[in-house]
Amino acid sequence: MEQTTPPTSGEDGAAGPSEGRPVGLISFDIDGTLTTGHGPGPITREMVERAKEWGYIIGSCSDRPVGDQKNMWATWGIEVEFTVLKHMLESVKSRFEADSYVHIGDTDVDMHFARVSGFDFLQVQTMDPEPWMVSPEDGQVHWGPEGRTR
Amino acid sequence: MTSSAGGFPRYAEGMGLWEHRGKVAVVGYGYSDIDRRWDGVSMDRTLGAFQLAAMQNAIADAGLTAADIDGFMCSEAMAGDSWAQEDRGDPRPYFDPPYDSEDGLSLTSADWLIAGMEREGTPLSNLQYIDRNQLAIGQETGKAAQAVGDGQANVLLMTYNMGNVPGRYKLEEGIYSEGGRKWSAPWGWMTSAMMQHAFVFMQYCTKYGGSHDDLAPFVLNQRRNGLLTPWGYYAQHEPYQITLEDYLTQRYICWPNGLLDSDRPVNHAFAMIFTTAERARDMKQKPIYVLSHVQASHPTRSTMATLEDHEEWTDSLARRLYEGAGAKPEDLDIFNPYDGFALFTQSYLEAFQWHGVKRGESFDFYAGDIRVEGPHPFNSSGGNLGCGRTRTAMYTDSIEQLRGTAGARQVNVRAETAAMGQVTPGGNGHIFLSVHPEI
Repeated sequence: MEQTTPPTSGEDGAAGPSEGRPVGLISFDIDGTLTTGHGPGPITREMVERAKEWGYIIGSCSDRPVGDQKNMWATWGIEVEFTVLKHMLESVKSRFEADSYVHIGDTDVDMHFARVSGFDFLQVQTMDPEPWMVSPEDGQVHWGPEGRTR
Repeated sequence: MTSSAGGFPRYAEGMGLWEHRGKVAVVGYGYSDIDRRWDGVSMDRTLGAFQLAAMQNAIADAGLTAADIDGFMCSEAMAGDSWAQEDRGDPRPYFDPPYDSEDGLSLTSADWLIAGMEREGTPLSNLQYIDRNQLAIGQETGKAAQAVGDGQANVLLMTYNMGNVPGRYKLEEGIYSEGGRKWSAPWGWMTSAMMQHAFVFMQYCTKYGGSHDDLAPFVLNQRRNGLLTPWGYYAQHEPYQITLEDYLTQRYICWPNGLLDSDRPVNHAFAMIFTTAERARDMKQKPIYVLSHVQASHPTRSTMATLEDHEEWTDSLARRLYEGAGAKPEDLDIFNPYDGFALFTQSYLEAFQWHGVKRGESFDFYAGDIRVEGPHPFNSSGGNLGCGRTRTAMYTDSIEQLRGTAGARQVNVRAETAAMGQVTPGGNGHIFLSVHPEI
């Protein structure tokens, strides 16, 4: 399993549990981004769960039908705030007030819809790991079994 | 269009009955597992490995051994993207033989497959006829039937694949479209096809009425049929039915062509075995006779074909296939036309007048009962939209329907004849099969 040396906690208020910190919103693409994707991406259930525990507003934005997105989250046992089609990402911004809006995905299409929707875009294969990706067990970033080579 | 009085291809009008009608039979078929993409790691799930498995499965299905095969036909065309993808600045190393080139990864040559069968301990040791072509399966099946009819092979193994490796699919333009392609394919390879079919589809809606939403029953039913196809991509990997709301809210790729109107690239392979009707009589499987095959290849008058072109071309196609088989529309039981984009399938439906559907009547037909259990089980295979971009589900389904082994997809109407083909109205091949050597 690929590991990444963790980042130093930043001072943006997002590098730890949410007590009294600004609220960030993270939109996850699925295929090629999450380990449940076809093909599997590098972001694991543990990472997503940690982001939620830290207070991020999380959900998915994918070309998968909404029903399938909901089924995926149910399988993971994680309650999310939104599940939208990729071209509907802008609707998420209008529904949730947050200090930052980030979409994490693997393709140019993800980047396109992030930009036109006013989201920052993080390309999952090349992004610097976010603090919530760091395992509290050993301080490392444990990407999914397929790593970030795709 | 060039013409030929006999042999392959069969382009011409007025050729009469196919000279080998009922004298060639399909006696085996096989397919591989199916993945969205090769993962770049699993050497037992490469395109080549899948194709060898499909070939072996076809031979077993026919009750034959590899030594019984004396003819071999495969398409050596690249099925998806190159593995190396150096043109994208994404060079990737090859592997130890036999994967030390593109061969076996993103295409399969006849030599690679023949050597592979030997490596696998199932050598094709008695080949007298080898056909290396660049055809799609619509044309390839006709050529295979013709080769057996012409006596070039007695037992011919024909195989076809559709591949997909990691990375964006078919970015043949490179990062930027150049030359004339900057007009016809400004956002990559598929936009040219989508623009073409979107344009004709809009002409269709203008002429006959209706809109993109009228395709929903057809597309939803394709997925349903695909989910009834145990080996299909969606049955295997995403086993849920899409809804009307999913369809109506889908993301458009090239309006009005949406994501759910477009087939999904996969990694998969298929094989069929053709032999003479005489040989087929005593074989393991009930013979499925070939009554006719035809092809079409039409240059466009400009960058775009029109609705008039598509209707003229598919009318000719249907007329010639029926004529070759000695059949009429009412003789056709199972019909599996191509659905790479949902926007053009009605061109075939109306040309073949299947179940009496005439020009401009497809939307009403789709709104009726087209389920496999119902009176009009259209495209019982689920096609590419239901099974992934294999281009072969329409063949496996047709054979299974005629054998009576289609399981949950088995239709309740008569299933003694079938027609199927691919790809688009401008260039395709179709074949007519029957459980009887003549109508």
